[in-house]
Amino acid sequence: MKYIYSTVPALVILGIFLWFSNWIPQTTWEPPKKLQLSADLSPADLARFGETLVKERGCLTCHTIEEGAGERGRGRGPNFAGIGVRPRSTPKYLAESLYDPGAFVVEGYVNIMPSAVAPPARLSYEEATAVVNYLLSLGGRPSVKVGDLPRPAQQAAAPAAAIPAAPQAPAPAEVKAILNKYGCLACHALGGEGGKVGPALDRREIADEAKESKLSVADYIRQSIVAPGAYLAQGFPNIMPADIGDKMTARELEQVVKYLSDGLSK
Amino acid sequence: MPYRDFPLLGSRNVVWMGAELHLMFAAFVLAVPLFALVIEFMGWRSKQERYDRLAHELTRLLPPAYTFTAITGAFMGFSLFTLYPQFMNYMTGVFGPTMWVYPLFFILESLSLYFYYYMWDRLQGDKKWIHVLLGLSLNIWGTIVMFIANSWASFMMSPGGANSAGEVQSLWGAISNLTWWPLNLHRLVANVTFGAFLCSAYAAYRYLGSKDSKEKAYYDWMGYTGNLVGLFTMLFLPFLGYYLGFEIYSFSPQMGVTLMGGVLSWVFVIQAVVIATMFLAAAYYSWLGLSRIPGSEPYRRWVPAFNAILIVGFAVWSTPHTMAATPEEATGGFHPVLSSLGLMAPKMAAVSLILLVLYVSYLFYRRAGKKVKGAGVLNGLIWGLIILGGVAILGLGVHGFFAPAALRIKESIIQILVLLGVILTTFIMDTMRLRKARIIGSPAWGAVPRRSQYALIALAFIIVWLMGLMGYARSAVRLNWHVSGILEDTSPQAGLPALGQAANMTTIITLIFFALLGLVFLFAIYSGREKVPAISGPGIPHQHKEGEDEVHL
Repeated sequence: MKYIYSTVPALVILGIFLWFSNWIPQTTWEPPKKLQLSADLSPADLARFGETLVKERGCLTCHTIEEGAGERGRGRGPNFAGIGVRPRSTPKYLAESLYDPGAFVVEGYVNIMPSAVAPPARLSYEEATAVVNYLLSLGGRPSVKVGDLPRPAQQAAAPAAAIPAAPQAPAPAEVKAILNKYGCLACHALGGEGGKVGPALDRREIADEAKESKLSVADYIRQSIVAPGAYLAQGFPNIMPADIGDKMTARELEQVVKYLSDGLSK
Repeated sequence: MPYRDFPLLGSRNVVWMGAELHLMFAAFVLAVPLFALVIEFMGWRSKQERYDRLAHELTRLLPPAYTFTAITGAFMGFSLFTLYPQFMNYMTGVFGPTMWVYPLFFILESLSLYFYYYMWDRLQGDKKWIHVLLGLSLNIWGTIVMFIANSWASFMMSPGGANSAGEVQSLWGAISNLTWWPLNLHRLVANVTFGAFLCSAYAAYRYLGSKDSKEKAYYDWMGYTGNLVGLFTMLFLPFLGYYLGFEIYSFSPQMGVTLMGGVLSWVFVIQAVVIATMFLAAAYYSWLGLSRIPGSEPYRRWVPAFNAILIVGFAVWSTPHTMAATPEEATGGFHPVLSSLGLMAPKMAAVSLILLVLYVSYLFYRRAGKKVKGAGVLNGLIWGLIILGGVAILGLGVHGFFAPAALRIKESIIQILVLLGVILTTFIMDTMRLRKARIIGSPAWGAVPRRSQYALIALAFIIVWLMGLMGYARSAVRLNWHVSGILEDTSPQAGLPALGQAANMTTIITLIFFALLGLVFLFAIYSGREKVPAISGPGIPHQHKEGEDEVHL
């Protein structure tokens, strides 16, 4: 009996732990249920399902939708508030950000997001469309229907593959194909080949211009594609189409930026 | 059939209980030999009989504890094979060869244990080295057994060596997955802490039940030694925990965030409260222990200040980064004030300062009852280093708060190095300083208040409960996956229970464990009384014999 009495203080302490654990918010977690989303749903209806998905599949573990909260340096991922009206927020861009988040990492953040179509979130194509609509609805208008967006290359990737790798050095032929696809070489030259209406893409002065603009070379090139009028090379008029950056997929854009900036740093 | 149900309790609860109980007994039978070997070695080298007797008495707990380890292990295995056959089919497919090797090492471990225990008295004197080697082999086999089992558990969390279809490409890749080594190291050290606190509880019960002053002195000293080892090894646990967290994050940032900032973040609030209670109980025991040393009065006046630092430090530590109660409520937003304390930098500073204060408490205990003349410069240097270390830790914490993440992580490593550097350097300097010490009051073993023993018993209960809770957290981070991203849990119990329910289960498991451990203690007591060696007690100052080296614990 004396041994039991000696244990009473310990049992009281365990009782306090038990009370505390039952007193704090009782977080639970249910496995996500696959939504059956019909192709007939309107973008607005899809956006409503998208909101549920964003909350249930763990997106808000890193992102926030509170205006002003989780700004650079504090949040783990970019703030969703107002994402629907940001210049780059095209449905295609948002879809690609879900399928392959490492293709374009917003400045100031680290490439930590697993593909949303792989475990653990495992969005189906229809669910990804719903999430894109929800994101567009944050400040803007949901506008895509099931079937409008490109499908992910792979619905379920391996966990190792789910963590996107850092962009690899792109092959010159691949970059040349991208540049031809968007007609860039009609005006710009690369490796001595191409037009002369615009500045050459591999001229050494780009590094100095980036420095003057207080940008990294990669950011300067990216900016020059997405918003061509922002920085003009001396002696060249502002005649480049403004929508090239929007037409490119995020991966294509990053391939070009990486190729050109790597070439200049050699 | 992928799953079978267990009536009334449910499959998940049955496996939960079996796994936790087995893990606790396994930790006990791994930790006690390690603890016993170190103590035996110290006794052998310092020629102090009390250490040898203590090690022998600890070893007496092992045979019945092994029996319970085997019983709970078999229970866990049977329940997994019958209730989760598909999962076990997968795991045996991946780890088949290791599952054949595992029992072989277990047999080697058991043989070493029986030789180690039963040959104790025969292998004394000139043959002691053989006995120490036996103890070493027992520990090596036990550690290998643990490492093998850890490869299975860590694979479930961060599978390696398998493709997306879950097919193993390399067995070694599966074993040496990202979290294997962090788990090995964390469990190895945590087991020693666990075993040390349980042995202290055993000593506390014996102390409280003793009427003989010689026995009381011996068990008081045994409880003190266990507590000291427990506290010392605990110093490393926050850092090893961060290492494990770091590798979890490397495997999947989302998993890491789920653990510390997502749905499981409240578990870490509970953890902080539990560890705070634990450190306070350990510090309380140390401070009460000062009362057994005449001449310790000047040190006792620091107790309120230390208490304040510990409480403030724990308040920072237990502040969560995000406070979402439910996924529906979550917006990803942060509290305007508290979220600042919930970041890594202030938490690291708080934990490091708490550990520094506990170390200073220990220094006080060590110095109590001893007077040193002519070592003022050395003493000044020691305090200078400790204060400088504290300021550096705090400064790095403040700087890290404003620094970018990459720099902040580097600074947290510097914080750890500063803390360990200060502790190591000042400990060596203090040992040198105490060589010149004149003893003005030996510890009066056996004269400590009864409430100090309640603190020791409470510490054992707390660490068992904590181990149960964190075991749940490590398992729960997989959410609805048996093997993350490879084998999904589609059973009716897939998902996470409410936190209260998890705490209820942890408490039930803790109580069952202690009921069984009580039997282990009883068997040890009934297996014969140890001849208690002389320890200084009230009115019996410790006699320093010729040829006996003093061991400064």
